[in-house]
Amino acid sequence: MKIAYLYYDFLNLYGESGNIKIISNILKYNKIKHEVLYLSLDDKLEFDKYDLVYIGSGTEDNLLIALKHLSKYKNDIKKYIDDNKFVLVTGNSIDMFGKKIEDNKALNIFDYEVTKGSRKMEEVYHNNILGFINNNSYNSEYNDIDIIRKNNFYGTYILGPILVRNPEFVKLFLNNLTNKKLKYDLKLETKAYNQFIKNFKENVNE
Amino acid sequence: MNRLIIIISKLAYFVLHKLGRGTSFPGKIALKLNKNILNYFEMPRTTIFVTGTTGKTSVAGTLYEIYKYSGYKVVSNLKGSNLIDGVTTAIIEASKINGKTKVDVLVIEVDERYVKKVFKFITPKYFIINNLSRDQLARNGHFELVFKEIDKSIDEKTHLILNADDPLVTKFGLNKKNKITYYGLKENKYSTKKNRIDTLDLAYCPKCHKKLIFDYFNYGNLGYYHCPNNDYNRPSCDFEGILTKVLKVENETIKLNNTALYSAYNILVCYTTARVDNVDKDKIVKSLNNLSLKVKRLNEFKVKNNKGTLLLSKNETPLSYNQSLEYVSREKGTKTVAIGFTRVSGRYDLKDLSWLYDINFELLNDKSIEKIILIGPFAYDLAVRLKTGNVDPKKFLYCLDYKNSLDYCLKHTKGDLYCLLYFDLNYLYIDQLKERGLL
Repeated sequence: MKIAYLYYDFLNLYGESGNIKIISNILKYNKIKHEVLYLSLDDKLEFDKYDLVYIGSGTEDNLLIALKHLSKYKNDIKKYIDDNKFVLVTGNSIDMFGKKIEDNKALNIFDYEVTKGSRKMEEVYHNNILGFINNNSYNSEYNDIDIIRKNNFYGTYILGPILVRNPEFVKLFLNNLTNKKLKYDLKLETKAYNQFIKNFKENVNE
Repeated sequence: MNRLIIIISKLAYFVLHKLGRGTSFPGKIALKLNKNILNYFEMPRTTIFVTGTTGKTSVAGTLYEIYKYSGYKVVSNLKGSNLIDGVTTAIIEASKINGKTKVDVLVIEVDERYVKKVFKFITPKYFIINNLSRDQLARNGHFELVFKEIDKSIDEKTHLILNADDPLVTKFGLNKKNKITYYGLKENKYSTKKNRIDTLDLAYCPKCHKKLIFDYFNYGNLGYYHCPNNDYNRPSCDFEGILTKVLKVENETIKLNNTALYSAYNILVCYTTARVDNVDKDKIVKSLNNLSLKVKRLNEFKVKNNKGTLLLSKNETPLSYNQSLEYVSREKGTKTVAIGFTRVSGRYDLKDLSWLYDINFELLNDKSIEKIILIGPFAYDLAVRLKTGNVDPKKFLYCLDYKNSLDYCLKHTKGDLYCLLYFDLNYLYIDQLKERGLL
C-alpha cells in the first residue's frame, strides 16, 4: 500500500502528521505492508501509484502555491477519484478541490467556490466527530463542520489529527481503505474521546 | 490634560509599586484617558524593542542588566505586561510629567500581535526580532499573518537586529532600506544535519519556492540554509557566535548558565545590540558574565534523594515546548516525566489539540524514562499523543485530579522527576512546593 502525504513540509499547520502516524501504526499492527511517500513542491506526482492521498492545511499564500503545483495533475486527480481511490483532506486544503478560490482557478472536482473573509474558530462536536476549526474560507456549498464526500474522497475543514481523535472514524476509514475488517487496539483513543466529551461536551447539544 | 493623565498614572504606579505589585494598570488608565497618549512622550537616546515567539523576556531582561551595569539610566517593562498597557506603563515610568524622558535607554519587550499598535506611535531606534514560529494559532492565526502585520509596521528609520539563522526572521530584511545587523550561531555540537521537528514553518524559498537546503539545524527551523537558486541564503553575520561550553564572539568569552541553544541566541543578540549601540565592550562582557537573571521557566527542588525540575512548557508553542523535551532528553540518569495542563490556553476557552502533534513528544521514546505521569482533564489526550509517537503506554500513569497531582508525582517518581507543565500547573506546583519548604 502506498500512502502519499502531499505537501508534508508546506501544508502542515495543524499537527497533520498525527493522521499519517496513526494510519501507519494501525497498518503495522495488522501486518499490512505499506510505505508513506513524503511528497511536495519539487516532486513529480504519480497518482496511478497511490492508494491514499492525504493533504493538510496551510497559510493562504502556501495554499495557492500548492494549488499551482497540483493543478498540473488536475486530470490525474479527477481520474483517481473517479476510480474510487482514497483521498483525505483536512483544513483549508479542501478549498483547492472546488471551482475557484477567489479569482484563482481550482481543481474543479466539486462545484463550490471559495471566498476569503474574516477568521472564524470553532470547536466541533458534530455527527460524533470531535475537532477544531480555524480558517477564513467561505465555501459556497459546504459548512465548516461537514464531511465532504465523493466516492472515497473525504474532505473537511476540521483541522489536523482527526483520525487520532476519532477512533470510530479511523476504523471506518481504514476498513474501507483496506477493504478488510482490521484489528484495532484503540482503547486509549476511545478513552480520550469519551473523557473529552464527558469533561467538555456533555451539556452541549449537537 | 496630558500632564494630569501622567500625574494620575504615576500616582497609581507609585501606590502599586509600594504594595509590591508589578502591573500594567497605570498604562491602562493613561490609555483610557487618552488613547493617543504615547504620542506625548519624548523618547530617550536609545529605544530598543524586542519581539519574537520565544525569549523576549530574557532578552529584555539581559539588555536591561547590560545597560544598568554600564552606567546608563534604563527602564524596561520587565515587571508589567508586553501588551500595550505594559509598554505604556514603562514609558510613563521613564518620563517626566512634561513628557520629557528621564532615562538614557528604554528596553521594551512587545508581544508580536501588539507591535503594530505600539509602532503607530513610536519608532524605536532598534528593533530586535529573535525568532518567529507557529504559536497559539487560535489566538494569533498563523505565522504568515503575524509576519505581515509586523512587516508593515516597521519604519525605515529603525535599525533592525535580526536572527540570521531563522529564515522566517530574515524575510523581514527583504525589500527594505533599513539598516540591518544580523547575528547567528555557527555549527556546534548540538547542531544536527536533519531537522528535529516534523514541521518546519519555512522550508521553501519565499522568492522562487524551491526547497531551501539546510547544511545544519541548530534548533527548530533555525540553522544554516541556502536556496538552490541563491535567491534566499542565510545572510552573513555581523556578529557570529561560537557555542562550546561557553559562548565566543569577537574573541570574547561569555559564560552561560546553560548550554541550551535558545539561551545562547538570547545572550548573543544582547551582545550584538549593545555593541551596535556602542556600549563599552568590556562592560558588556563583564555584565554578561555576572548575570544573575532568574530563569523563569526552570525551577529545581528535591524529591526524596533525587532531583525534581519544573519546566514551564507553553501549550500551542512547539518551539518553546520542544526546548523542555530536549532538556529532559539531554539530562542523565533514570527519569520520571510528568506532563499536564488544565486549560489549553490561559487566554481563551477553545480546546484545539492539534498542536500536540507539532511537538516532538517522540523524544520521550527513551529508555532512561521509567514512568510518564499524565495530569489533568487532558491526560488521555496526552496519552494518545505519546502512543501515536510510539512511546510505550505501559509507562503511563494517570492523575486526572490535578490539584493533588504533585503528591501523586512525588509518590510515584522513580529517579529524577521532570515536570513539563503549562502556566496553570507550573504555578500551582511552585506554590505547593513552597508551602512544603521544598522550594
